[in-house]
This record gives sequence, C-alpha cells and structure tokens, in this order.
Amino acid sequence: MDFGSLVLALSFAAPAVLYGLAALAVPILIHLLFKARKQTVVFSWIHFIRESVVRKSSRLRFQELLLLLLRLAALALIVLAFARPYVKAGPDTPASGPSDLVILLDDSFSMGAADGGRTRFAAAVEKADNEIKQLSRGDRVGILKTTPPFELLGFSDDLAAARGLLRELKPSFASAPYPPALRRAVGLLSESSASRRELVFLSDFQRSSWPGSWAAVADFPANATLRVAPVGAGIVDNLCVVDVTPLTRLQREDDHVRVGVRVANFSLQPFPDLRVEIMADGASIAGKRIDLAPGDIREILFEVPAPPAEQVGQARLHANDVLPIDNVRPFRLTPTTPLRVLCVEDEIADVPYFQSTHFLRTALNPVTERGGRHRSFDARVLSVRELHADELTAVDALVLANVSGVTESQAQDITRFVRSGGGLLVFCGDRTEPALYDVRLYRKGVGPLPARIAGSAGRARGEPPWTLRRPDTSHPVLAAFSGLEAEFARPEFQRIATVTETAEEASTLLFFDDGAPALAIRPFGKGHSALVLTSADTTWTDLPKRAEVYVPLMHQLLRYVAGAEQTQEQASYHPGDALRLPAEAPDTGALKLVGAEGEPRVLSTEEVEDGATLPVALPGVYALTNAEGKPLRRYTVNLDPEESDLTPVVPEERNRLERRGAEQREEIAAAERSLASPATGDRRLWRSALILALVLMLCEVWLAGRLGG
Amino acid sequence: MVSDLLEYLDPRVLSRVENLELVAKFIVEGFMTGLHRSPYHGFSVEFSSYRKYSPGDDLKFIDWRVFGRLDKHYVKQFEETTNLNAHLVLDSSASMDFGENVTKWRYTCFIAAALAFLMLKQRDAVGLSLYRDGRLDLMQPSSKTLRLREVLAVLDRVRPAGRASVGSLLTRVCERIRRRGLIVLVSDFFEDLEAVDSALRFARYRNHEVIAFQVLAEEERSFPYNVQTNFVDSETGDRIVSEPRTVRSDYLRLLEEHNERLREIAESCEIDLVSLTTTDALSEVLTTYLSHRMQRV
Repeated sequence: MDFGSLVLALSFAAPAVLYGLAALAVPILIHLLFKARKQTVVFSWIHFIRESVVRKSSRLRFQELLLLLLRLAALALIVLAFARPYVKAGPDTPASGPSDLVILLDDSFSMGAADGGRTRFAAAVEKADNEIKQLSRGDRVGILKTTPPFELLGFSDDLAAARGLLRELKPSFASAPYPPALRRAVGLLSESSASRRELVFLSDFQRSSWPGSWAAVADFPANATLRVAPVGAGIVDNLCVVDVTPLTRLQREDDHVRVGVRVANFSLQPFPDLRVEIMADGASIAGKRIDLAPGDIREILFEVPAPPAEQVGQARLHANDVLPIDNVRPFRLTPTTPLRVLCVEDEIADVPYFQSTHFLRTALNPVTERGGRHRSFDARVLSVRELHADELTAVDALVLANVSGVTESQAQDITRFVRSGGGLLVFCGDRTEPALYDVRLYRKGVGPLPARIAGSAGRARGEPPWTLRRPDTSHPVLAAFSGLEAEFARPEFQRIATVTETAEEASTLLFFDDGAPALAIRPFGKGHSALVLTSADTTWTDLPKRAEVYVPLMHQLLRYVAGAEQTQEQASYHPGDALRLPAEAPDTGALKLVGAEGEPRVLSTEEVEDGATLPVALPGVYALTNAEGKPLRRYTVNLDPEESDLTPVVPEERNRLERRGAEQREEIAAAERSLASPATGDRRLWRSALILALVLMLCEVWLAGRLGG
Repeated sequence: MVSDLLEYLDPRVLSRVENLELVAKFIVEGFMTGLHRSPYHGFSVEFSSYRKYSPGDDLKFIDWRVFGRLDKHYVKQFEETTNLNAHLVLDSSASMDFGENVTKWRYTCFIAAALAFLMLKQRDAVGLSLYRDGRLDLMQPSSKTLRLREVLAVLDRVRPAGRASVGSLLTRVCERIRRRGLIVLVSDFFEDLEAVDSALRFARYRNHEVIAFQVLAEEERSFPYNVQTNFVDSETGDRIVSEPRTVRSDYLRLLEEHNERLREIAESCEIDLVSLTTTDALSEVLTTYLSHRMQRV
C-alpha cells in the first residue's frame, strides 16, 4: 500500500481525541508571543556581532522554524497516537475492485414540484444518472424508490439498462415517509460484499417525510458510505386544499348540507384574495374569497344544497403555485338515511314532558341554530303493550326506557332483532323489574342484555349523589369526548340501578364514582345492546339536562348499537392505498372499478375474496359498478396534504444522517478492533506514532540546546 | 615583600586605588623591585665617552673590556638623555568605557600613569594627547616636576565618550608636536584600520617612534554571553538582537582577523604593538617600553 492509499485508509478508534490537535496552537503562540527573555548589554563595538548575525540569521531562522515544526509534529503525533489510528483493512480499504452503488430516489408526489425550471424529480434523475456514469466496468448499481414496493432494480452491472430505467421513471402521487425506504436501501447495501459500497439518497428531503430517518440507518453497514443529495429550492410557494369535510350527519330539514374546506399556505409569503370554490357536476355551487397568511391553515365553511343522491364534488383553490394539482380536492356528498329509533315505555303520559323518553327523543333531533331540526334520527314512541315483531322490522334501534319488563314473546322478538343486527338500548327506572329482565333478556348471559340487573340504590337527602368517573375515550362511543372528559363529572345521580354480574362479552364503558357500572355494552349476534344503569329522564338524574354530555352520548350510543359506526366507510383514500370493497358486494365476477386510471378494471372472484382490497395509484374519483354499469359505491382518492408542505429539513439534519452512517461505521470498526488480538497492525500504529513523537522530542531538545532556547 | 609589590601590578588590585599617582608609583616600583639585577640598569642616561678612572668613581662604571685590552682603567662617561619627547596618545572614545572589573579606559589610565611616572623619573619629557569634549586636548611634552600631576589630573577628569577616531587623533598630534619623539598610542583600535594605517605611516614619516598598546576587555576576547541578548553599541547606540551561542565563533574569528590586520599594519610600519587584556599584569607594558627604550641606547 503506497502512502496515499495509507492516508486514505487511515481511521481512528477514538476520533474525539483529535480535538486535542487544537493544542497545536500552544507552541505556535509560545513561539510568537513568548520568545526567550532578552538581556541588554552595552557592548563596546557591535560591528563584529552584526557581521556574525547577518551571516547566521538565515540559518538561525531556519533552525527556529525547524524547532517549531519539531514541537508541532511531536505534539500532533502524541494526539494521533491517543486517537488510536488504524488502517482499515480488507473491504474497508478503498482499494481497487468493483464497487456497489445503491441509489434511493424519492418519487413522492412532492418531487413533481417545478421549482427552478424543471421538476425536482427530473433533477434527481439527472443526478442519479451522473452517479451511474461515474461507475466503472464491473461496478454494480441498485435502484430503489421511496414509495412501495421500493425496489426498482436489484444489483446489476448492466449500467446502460439502469440508466434507461431511470429515464423512464416518473414521480408518483403517493406520499413517502423515508424510513421504510431507507431500511430497504440499507438492507440491499448489506447484501453487497463489494470492497466499496455506497448509498446515495436523492430527495427534496421534506420535513414531513423525515421523522425516523435517523433511526432507519441504525444498521448501516460498517464499511459503506451514505451520501445525501438534495434537490429543489427549499421552501417555495405552494398552497393546497388540505381536507374537505361534508358534514352529512348534520343534514337538516331545509335540505342544506354544511361542507368544511380546509386550505393551507405552506409558503413564506401571504396570498391575498384567493378564491375557494365548491364544484358539483362541473359547475360552481358556492364560493368565497379569503386571505391566507404564510403558514396559515384555515377552514372555510360552505352551505350547499343537499343532493337527492350521492354526488361527487370538488373543492378548488385558485392559486398560482408550484404544485397546481393539490389545489383541487374531490369529495363525495352522500345523503344519509336517518336512523330509525323505536322508543318503548310502560305507559305513555299525555304530557310529553313526563314521558320517559321525552328527553331522549329531544336529544336525538335537536333544534338547529336556524330553527330547523337535524334529521339524523327518526324516533317515535310506543307503549310496551304495542310492541310486536312487526314494529321491529322497520327500526334500526329499540330503546326500552323505564319499562317494567317484556313478555316472553317480546323478549324472543327482541333477541332475534338484536341478533340480526338491530340495536337495543335499555334504561332503568322506578318501574324496572330486575327479575323480568334477568329471566327474559339476560338469561345468565345468553340473552341480549349486557348485565344482570339486581335492583336499585338511592342516596338520602343530604347525602352526596353519585357522579361518573373520568371515562376512557378509546372506545368509539366515547371517542368524541376526547379532551372533554371533565364534562362527565358534572351529572349527578340520586338513584342508580345495580348489577350483580355482566355477560362474558360485555364491557363497561362508564362507572359511577363508587366503582359501580353505569353503562355496559355487548355485541350480540350482528347487533349490539347497551344497558344504562339510570333513568332516561330526570327522575333519577340530571343527566338529561346536561346537554353537553347527554346529546352527543345518546347520538353516539344509538349509532353504535344500531351498527352505523361500524359500517361507516372510509371517507377518503390516498394514492397507493387499497380501496376497501363493500362487504355485501354481489356477483363478484361482474364488478368493475372505473376511475382516474382509465380502463375499467374487472375484479376477479379471487380479488374480492382475498381481502377485498384494490390498490390505486392515481388521485381522483373511482366508481365501483355492477355488470350493468350501475355505481354501487364511489371512492375519492386524494393527495396526501403532508406532501404539499415542501418545507425541507434543515441541512444539519441531512448532514446528521450522513454522519450517522459514518458513526455507525466507526462504532462497529471500534468494536472489531477491541476484539482484535494485541498483535494487530492497528495497535502497532499508535505505538509507532508514540515512538516517532519521542524521537522528535529528543531532536527538539538537541536543537533547542544548540539555539540556546 | 617583593610579592606584595608585584601584586600591585595586577590591575584588579590597582583598580581599588583611587589615587592615580599612587597607582603609578606602585606599578613602577613594584616592577623595578622585581628586576634586581636588571640589564636595564642605568638606561636613563646615554653613553658619551670614556675617561680615566679616578678614586671615588663607582666601580660599576669601569669598562672591563677596555681594561683587558689596554690594562688601564677607564670608566664610561654618560650624559643625561633629556631629549626624549614621549607623547601619550590615548583613545578616550566611548568604546573604551567597557569591561567587567576594570574598564579599558581605567586600564589605559594605569598604563599612561605608569609610563609618565617612569619617564619623568628618568627626566624624559612627557606629553599627553586625547580627545576631550569633542576637541583635541594636547599637552606638549615637558619634563618638569609638575608634569606628572598635570597628566594625572587630566586622566582623572576625562570620561570616555564619542566615537573612536584614533587615526584622526594621531594625525593631528603628529601635525602639532614640534620635535620628533616617542609616541605611545593606547587604544582598542575598534575602528576602521585603514585610517589607523594612514595615521601610523604619517607618524613614521615624521620620524616618530611609535609604541602601540591594544587594550581589550576580557569579555571582548571571550564573548561569554549565553542567553539571547540585545547588544547596544556604546558609541553609536545601534542595537542588535542576537543569540550569542550561534554567533560566538564568527565573532571571535572576525575579532582575530581584525587583530591580525592590526598586527600587519604595525609590522609594515615598523612599530611595536602590544596586545593587552584588562586582566593582564602591567609589567608587560613597562617591559615593552623599556625594551624599546634600550634599543635606542
């Protein structure tokens, strides 16, 4: 190995010690600032001295410089020795031989941004092409992209083919967090046994895709290098429609629906007087003008006529930026059918206020701000004596409020109703007969009732009433109360029903403050049932008057037991996601998917049966049709707004990734050295440095003696 | 007792004595005591003729070689040598004020005092020339009794200063003195030797005898400095920083070349040159002088 190669192959086990090289400044400072002390002598005639000095001065200066260099060299060698130098051997040595290059190319949607006259992706492809051009015959290249399935080309020595593949590449519309792709790239690099291995990561290094990247290279190979090659101009002007939320659940009697459109300005400059439009069937149906400050994300509310049938609309933001495609976002307007709720009481009082389900029915259809009523629920009341199987066929949920009990046949009808997918909600009250519920609806856990009612308990006047414990909002029924858990501490309960046991599948969602169950639910067949251990009216509790808890709780509870929450379909997909087919899809061989990708895709039986998922790559609206072409369901596939934020990570983070690769390499090398035998050349190297330093110090002493310094 | 007197020839001992006349006496008498049967006895008078011995004459003046040839007693007839004019020409430049224990100027004063004492004791006329306060201070030779006091008074008052110009001084002295005589030149000769050469040749042209004493300090001969030193020229005030260890060899070589050149000049001009160090005993001075004086007898 020649000297140049030796220097290139030189590495250090304790590189931090190299900071000690700063001590080299000390002898220099001493040399400059603290020259030897001078005495002054008035001499008779300095003619001879001057002559001598003139002759000696150049040699003296040389010797002084030599002395300084000796001191510096000795000090530097000591520092280098303590940094434990070693020569990378074997594959570490950048010697001749084939090398393997892995190119990781960011093909996420953001790379389509055209800043600087061309797209970022085109710039990245050109850089990748240059990297390949620098390879020699026998070298291999592997190409990965940041979107699944990541790998485009395994290691290949056909460099021309690799360059051809690069030229054909186009950016995707998918979002791409970097860690998965980095892990795949590191894995591919680890498979290589070439003497030189390198990973080049070409990307715009979006901040939103960055988290976890550092950890993803934790297993970076010890003798490989990692290089990042950024493209793009950093933060550029880009706006987007982040989200469109059709508030269909709040559809009202006046046939209008509220749509929330969130728009964002990801640039560093304000965009005044922007127009935001709602389009339906190619025509504008609503529009507003807004100002967007830098970094601002705003939601603009529109009220549009409720469509009689499912309709596809678009939210459009008129702005001139680098990614126009994310300024348009399709969405679906789907009219909802109100949930049919049958409220059953023992006796229906003439005055509605005294009816047990009066508060419940009022809560299900609250008055809107404009005086209209929401039509999310269609509730009616019935006496328990009139409850027949026929009544249950036309409802989604059955509510038993302060009903003393049901007959055996009614119990069987209710059981069938719940098992077939209906919802059952039971409130307790003064009239409730625990024994009847036990034998007809609980039946030791095999009936639809979640728990066995034991009786009731009350607090005397003057005693503190029951309250509710802080709820666990992880359950879908209570998810809407996340962050609002404190609201549950307000309702007071003077009387509660008690339970002695719960069904095996039952779960308790709410507890009173003494630990007694307050709300228990259970799945039963295809349906669900819920048992509320207090009254539906104000006879036992003031809960019905606590609208902030009661209204959303009843809405969520009834939607849950009626199965509406479970069948809620995914509102929007992103490119790269897999569409979920409806569970009730008929005639599997005849289904077609029509959408942005052009040609309809006929779905095979296997496709539907094997998980019923359909990956889509392009944004837009897709329709699932039957053999006659009748749309069964529409899907909206939208760009991930994370990709619209083109803000890159700070350069220090990128550099840190490169350093991470280097540090990992050093750590492994150090560990290997610590396991090496004492006879390895690495150890001799630092000894040699120390010996050389000693020799230089002896020379320094000799020369200093000659100079009188 | 003799050794005590000889001790007074050590300039380090003499330097403790303030009175220059006393110093001169110590030097000369110490020197003479050490001579005993010195061949230089009776040199102060010059031989003139023979005359017949008559009772009462000192037997030491009988010329025994004549008695051997003629079998008659003759005694040598001597005349007092009152025609020797000695000029003490002293370098009083600032470079002479240098030396660790005894400065070169002080040593020069010892030489001048001793020679003046000795010369006047032998009734020679003594003159003194030196630069004082930038102008020539010339004292014409005289053998009068007070001359010693006058010479010593001048030496006491003079403080070395100014730049060396021995050549110029010697030339001007030669121009001013009326009779030929003996010029005793005392200097370190730290100056341009070509000017000195010209002045000496001029002195010889005027038929003056010249004895030159080169006085150097021990430090100038050994250059004993070790640490880095800022040397200040005593005459010009010029400064130079030097590492003495690195320049010592060159310095000594240059000094030797300078002295060698001075010796060549002295030889070519047929003058006596005595190189002294301020630590040297002053007997060398007197020996040289007397040796030179004997050649004239």
